[in-house]
Amino acid sequence: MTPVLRLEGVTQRFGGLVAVRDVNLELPRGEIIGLIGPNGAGKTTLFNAVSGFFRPTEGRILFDGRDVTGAAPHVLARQGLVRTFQGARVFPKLTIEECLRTAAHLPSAAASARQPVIRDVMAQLGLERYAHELAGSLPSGMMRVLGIAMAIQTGATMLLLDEPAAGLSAEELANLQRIIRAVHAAGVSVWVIEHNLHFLMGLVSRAIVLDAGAVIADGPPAEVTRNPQVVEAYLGAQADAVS
Amino acid sequence: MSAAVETTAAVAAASRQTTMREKLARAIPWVGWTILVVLLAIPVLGGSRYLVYLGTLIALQAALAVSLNIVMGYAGQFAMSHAAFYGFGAYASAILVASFGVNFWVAIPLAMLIAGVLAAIIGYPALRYTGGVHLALITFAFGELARLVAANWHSVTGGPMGMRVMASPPQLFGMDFSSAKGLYWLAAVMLMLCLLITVLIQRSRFGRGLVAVREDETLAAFLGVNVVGYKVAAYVISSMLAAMVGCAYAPVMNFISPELLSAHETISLIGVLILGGIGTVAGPIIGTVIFFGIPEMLRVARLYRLVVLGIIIVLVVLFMPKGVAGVIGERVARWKRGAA
Repeated sequence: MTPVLRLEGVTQRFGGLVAVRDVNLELPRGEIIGLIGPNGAGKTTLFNAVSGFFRPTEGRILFDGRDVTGAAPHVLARQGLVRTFQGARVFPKLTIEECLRTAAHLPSAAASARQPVIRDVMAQLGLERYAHELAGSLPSGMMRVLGIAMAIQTGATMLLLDEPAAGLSAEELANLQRIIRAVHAAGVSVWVIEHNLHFLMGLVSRAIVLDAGAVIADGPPAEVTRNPQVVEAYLGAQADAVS
Repeated sequence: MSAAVETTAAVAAASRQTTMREKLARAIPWVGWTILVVLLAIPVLGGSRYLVYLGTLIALQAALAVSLNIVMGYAGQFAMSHAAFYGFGAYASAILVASFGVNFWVAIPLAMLIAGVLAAIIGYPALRYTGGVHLALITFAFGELARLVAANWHSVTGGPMGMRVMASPPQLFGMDFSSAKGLYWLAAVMLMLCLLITVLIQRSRFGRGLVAVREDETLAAFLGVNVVGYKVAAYVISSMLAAMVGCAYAPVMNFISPELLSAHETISLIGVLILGGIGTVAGPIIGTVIFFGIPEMLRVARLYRLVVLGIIIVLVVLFMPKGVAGVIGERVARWKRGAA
């Protein structure tokens, strides 16, 4: 089976700065995979390159076996690759219902054959009681859920989640984990950037560790966190994150 | 997921209780349409010459506001060239008819086509960037350029003194459009056409995409909207409709001048949208009736009208930023849910 996402030698330079260095990865379909690393490691930059925010300086990106290197964000979204943003990005002046209805209508007619993997996203993700609230007035945990729900509504088959758990309470974290699992169970591949290792440990089957723009470890999360290189780069600085 | 099921059941029960309210709330747009049809019928049924003439002007102004609402209200793009395309339509159709002998009914689509091409050429470079300042500046510059061309190309436009338009529209489908009532019908049909296009857009995938672009261009792009394409399309449609309305202006007034193209005409249209409720179907019409209709009926001089408009806009922005239609819409929505 072709991997859902394949990165071949992806490098992103900004002037003299190398933000992402020769990243080669294969993400199999239907998994939840983590992307971790210290601040400034290039995680979001890598997501930006993959999701079409900017074209990688070098390398190729294949989604569903198709070369999508440098494709515009809306083209990728129509093919089923949708990202969320750090914190949460929703349409704050629209109600939850309007946000979801809007998201459902966005892909092109060609993609409209692809239905959302979850039939009634609003009810299934617990957003129903907020249906008529403005998205901007939601508590931050629900706002993240709404961001994911909107991505699902477009018919996404793969989600890139950029730090969905940052700044959430324990209760909200548990709920978010549940949501991500439900989305995954419905058949969506998930790639998630996260700082909170507790959050990731119980969620992902595989963690990719990025440091200074390069992949330094890749494997089951329990194994990865014992890797001395990772401990030094990431956990050494933030040992309290796992303790 | 049992919690979700319970919530669904609770919501279902609540919705049964409010069906009566929902039915009434759903009827409100139809009440609006009925009022509009009655208003449109008044000049034809019992109209004095003055009332027919006034109705024609208001219908044209409303059509113009409705068409501007597509690019400003739905797509959220600050286009300053609307009056320029309106004036362009008026000049283009008058010149095509008078100098080239083109049939008036052929001149309308021709003028619209040229306006559409112009709008695409202006809009594409300006709309590639997020933020709107580019479009506002470029469209303002284009509007001024068009006005200066109209004022100085004496041999074609008659220069700053304007040009007289003697021709009136020929019969179409056996209907006479040369009389005052015929011209009124023309204006009313154009208004309804602009409204129809707005409603179709609002209900389409395209319209949803425009709203997404207005709310957050980056997010819209990452959810699958071709942001630049949608913005250009909205600007082109809006500008083509402005040119269409302009085509009717010439035979109604029998006279056109470069003043028609000036930016402050666009600004007062923007005022109308803010007043009535930008980004709503009814807003532009409510705004037009308040801004043009009431002062006209009260015979307030043009000079004071702008002063009054200025004060009203300040009050609206302060106390009801979504305009008259926005406030009505919110009230109805709240009442429908049973909270009011």
